[in-house]
Amino acid sequence: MKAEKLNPSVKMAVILVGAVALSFQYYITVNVTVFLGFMLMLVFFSNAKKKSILALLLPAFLAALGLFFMGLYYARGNSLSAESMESVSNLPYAVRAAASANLLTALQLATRLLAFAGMGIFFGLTTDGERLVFSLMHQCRLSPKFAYGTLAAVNLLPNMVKEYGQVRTAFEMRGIHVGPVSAKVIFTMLVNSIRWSESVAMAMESKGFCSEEPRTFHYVLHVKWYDILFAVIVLGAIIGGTLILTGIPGSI
Amino acid sequence: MQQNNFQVDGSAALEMEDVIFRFYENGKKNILDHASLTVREGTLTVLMGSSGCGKSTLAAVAAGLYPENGGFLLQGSIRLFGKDLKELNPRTRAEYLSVMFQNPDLQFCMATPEKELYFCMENMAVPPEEMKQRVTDTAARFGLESFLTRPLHTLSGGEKQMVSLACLYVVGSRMIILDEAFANIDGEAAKKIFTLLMKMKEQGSTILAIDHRLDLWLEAADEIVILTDGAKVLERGLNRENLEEAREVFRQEGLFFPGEAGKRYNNVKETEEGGQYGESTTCKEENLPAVSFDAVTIFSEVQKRFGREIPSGKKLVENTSFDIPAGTITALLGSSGSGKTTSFLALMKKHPYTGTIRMFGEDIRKKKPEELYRNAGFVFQNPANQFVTQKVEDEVTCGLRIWNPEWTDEDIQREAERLLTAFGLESKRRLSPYMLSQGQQRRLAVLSALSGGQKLLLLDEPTYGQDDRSTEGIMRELLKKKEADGLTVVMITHDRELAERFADRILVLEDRKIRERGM
Amino acid sequence: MNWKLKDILMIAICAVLFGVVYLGCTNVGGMISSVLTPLGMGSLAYEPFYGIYFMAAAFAVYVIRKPGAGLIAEILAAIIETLMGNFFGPIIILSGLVQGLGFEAIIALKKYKKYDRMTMIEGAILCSVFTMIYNLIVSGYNKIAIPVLIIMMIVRLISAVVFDVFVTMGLAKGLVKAGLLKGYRISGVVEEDAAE
Repeated sequence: MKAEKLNPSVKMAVILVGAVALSFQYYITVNVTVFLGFMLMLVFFSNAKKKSILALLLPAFLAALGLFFMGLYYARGNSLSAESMESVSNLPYAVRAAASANLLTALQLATRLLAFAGMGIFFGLTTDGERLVFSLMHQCRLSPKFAYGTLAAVNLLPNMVKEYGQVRTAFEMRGIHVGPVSAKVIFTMLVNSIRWSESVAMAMESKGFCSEEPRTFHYVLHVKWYDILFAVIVLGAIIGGTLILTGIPGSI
Repeated sequence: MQQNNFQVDGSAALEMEDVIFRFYENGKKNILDHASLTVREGTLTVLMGSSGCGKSTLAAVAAGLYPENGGFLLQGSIRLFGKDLKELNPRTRAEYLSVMFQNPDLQFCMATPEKELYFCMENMAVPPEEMKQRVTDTAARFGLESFLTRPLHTLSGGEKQMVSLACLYVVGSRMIILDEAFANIDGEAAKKIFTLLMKMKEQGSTILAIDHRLDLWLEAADEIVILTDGAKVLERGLNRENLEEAREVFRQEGLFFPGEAGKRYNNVKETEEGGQYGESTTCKEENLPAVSFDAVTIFSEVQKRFGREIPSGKKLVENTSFDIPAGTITALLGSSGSGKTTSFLALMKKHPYTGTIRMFGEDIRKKKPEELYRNAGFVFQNPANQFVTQKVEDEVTCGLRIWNPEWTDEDIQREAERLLTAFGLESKRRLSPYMLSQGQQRRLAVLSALSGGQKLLLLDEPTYGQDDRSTEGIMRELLKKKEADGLTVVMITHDRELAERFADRILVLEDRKIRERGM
Repeated sequence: MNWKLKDILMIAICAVLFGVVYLGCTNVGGMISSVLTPLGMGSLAYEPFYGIYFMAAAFAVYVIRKPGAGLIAEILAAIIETLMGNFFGPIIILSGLVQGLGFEAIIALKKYKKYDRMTMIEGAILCSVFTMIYNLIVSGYNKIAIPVLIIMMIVRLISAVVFDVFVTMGLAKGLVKAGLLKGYRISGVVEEDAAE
């Protein structure tokens, strides 16, 4: 059993509902469990490469760290300035109490972000884009026009990246300095994008793509028992865990 | 009733009668101006005409892609195999007619040839259980097996066009229009596709080929039709037997008469240079080659690791040495993907290499990029990628200002005026550069690439997306500049005839070596 | 709603483009962020680029001028960003929905008739406000001190107005002038603007 086999729409719905559920609780335990749970699933029940997991985890940890420090210094009602943090042990009790309260907030925010990232990385590394779009078409009634339009656009990405580099080179050779975001480069790329949209639309229609006629499908994705099981386990853990911890006073 | 004017003929695949089509509802210019055309079933018809005469638009209108995707059809009737086009939707239209387009990069929706074939069959509601077998058969027929599951963006232009044809085959259209489908692929690939196309014709397919070169089609064509402005038929009923009679029409419309490549070159020399061609130019006195490669090796890819660039991928050019003398026009030939453009980029310090590259005698490693750009201008395959302003005039003044910071506004204005006039763009000065035709865009790109008085011009595929007349216009301009200012031109092209017509020397990139080829 | 395949492709391809630009910016944001993190302001580093995040929707709204354009464009852009890979995965779709609603609400209020600069500014502001509310709930910003949130909000608003109003409108008008948007509703209107 591999996570790649899960129905992409179900996977997506579980993660979206899970994210909303996580947003209304502040238990570090739940957040960490979700993060670790998804990481374990990635490592043991998927074909994701360790290297790609790390490549996505790194920016996630950086963002979590950013949020952590923000929570630590600027949690509501207990703001601390950076200077007063320098030697915590010498500070009066009130400040230390505030610091520990802030630490809790900081951890709550940072771990929640990690829980989101765990789900996001899990989804990203186990879901083929094409299967996702097909599944949205079959399970969520996304119209084929939007489905294939999206796929065509995403498949242009390599061309887009190549062209983007070329435009920047062309500008430099004309003696124009281009910064990381240049409206001029974006303009040229938009010119290309609009031309491309017309050409690709014409090519697709010329090959018989038509939203008025029924189409057949080479393969259709279905919702299977293991999709339901996945949904029950994940959402059960998040919602159930939250409810249990609510019943235990003092839990974090 | 319009219908009464139709010839009642069951064997017509496409009938267009008195069609008026324009892009702007209230504009004055009709792209198709009372255009009429009939193509008989089972024939190969070749449609020729100068760029901007409306032949591509005609194809798109015939296939119902316009006005669906732009423009206004004001009048006229179009029938596909006897059926009124208005009553067909994209799917039913595709049963009768589909189009193969010029740009191989913009014809696909899916990621691999295999998936694209499935997509096409799904469009035509082929039963799913038949699909797999059909893909296998089609792949064998069109020779796609070796790259069936490779990402489309990694295929060569020729391979992509072959996939395109295979797609039209599985769609099963009774008629196929090829809209300059061979314009950007090399001759070898075009011949392969042509052979398979002819097999489809034998089995009853009707083919309408739009092309600015006749050579490939001449032997097999049942009819050659020449269009003029507004896509009106100027000459029809031509074939290989009576083509000679139309020689004058070809000349007058600026079209390529088959087998005339050599003669053209002489004409240019006589008319433009008055026989002075071949005299030594100012630059040659310095005796330094404009470009010289000394034991240069270039890899296809570069990996960045810890800030250092490590070459990877395959070797495109290996241990190659050659010189390009200053004040000459040199063509660089070679099949697509062989590394011609990459070699140009290496010369501009935009791609790493080993060995030594010199520009006007100086090692480019010791030069700052800005110094190189001051000496050499680059015109890309798609000139629209190098415009930096939104007005033709600004495009020129902007270049002049960058390269000549000491000039006053008046100087710049005067020089811009002179350049625009010299390149025949003065009437377009207030337009957006993107409003220009492909030929004019390239001329503007050349003009702005040389606005700093650059002595070397690198041209990447100057024929891309335009007809012979516009290409020739630019080449004449460059010949003049070569004679007058000693400009050195190096152009990448897959068009052997263009190279033979205009280049003093021809280099060929083959088996990872760049060598001179005898003229 | 009558969407042509070409319109969908136009928005989708532009969304891919803005996605590429935004991804490039988040790299820059990440670098700034690592400097600001020890000061507790790491999360602020992404705010200057927030406007690029709504650009696909702003552009679609301004060019296509049909009901639903903002919402559809934003969801499409979010799906595309999910496909292009980022560590939030499909959760991006939630924020896409919220952003799209911001623009859509303002334009719906004006009955899909007014598309002047003021409308776009209001759209950008509402978009920023909506996403801040989203952050308060989903990212837990409700636990952060209000002055910090105000600073974030100000940076976000400036970014939204710069990118989604001035840059977007400038780009779109340039495209109209270049004759590239002739099939879209924006074309007739901007030419009138230019004539004034």
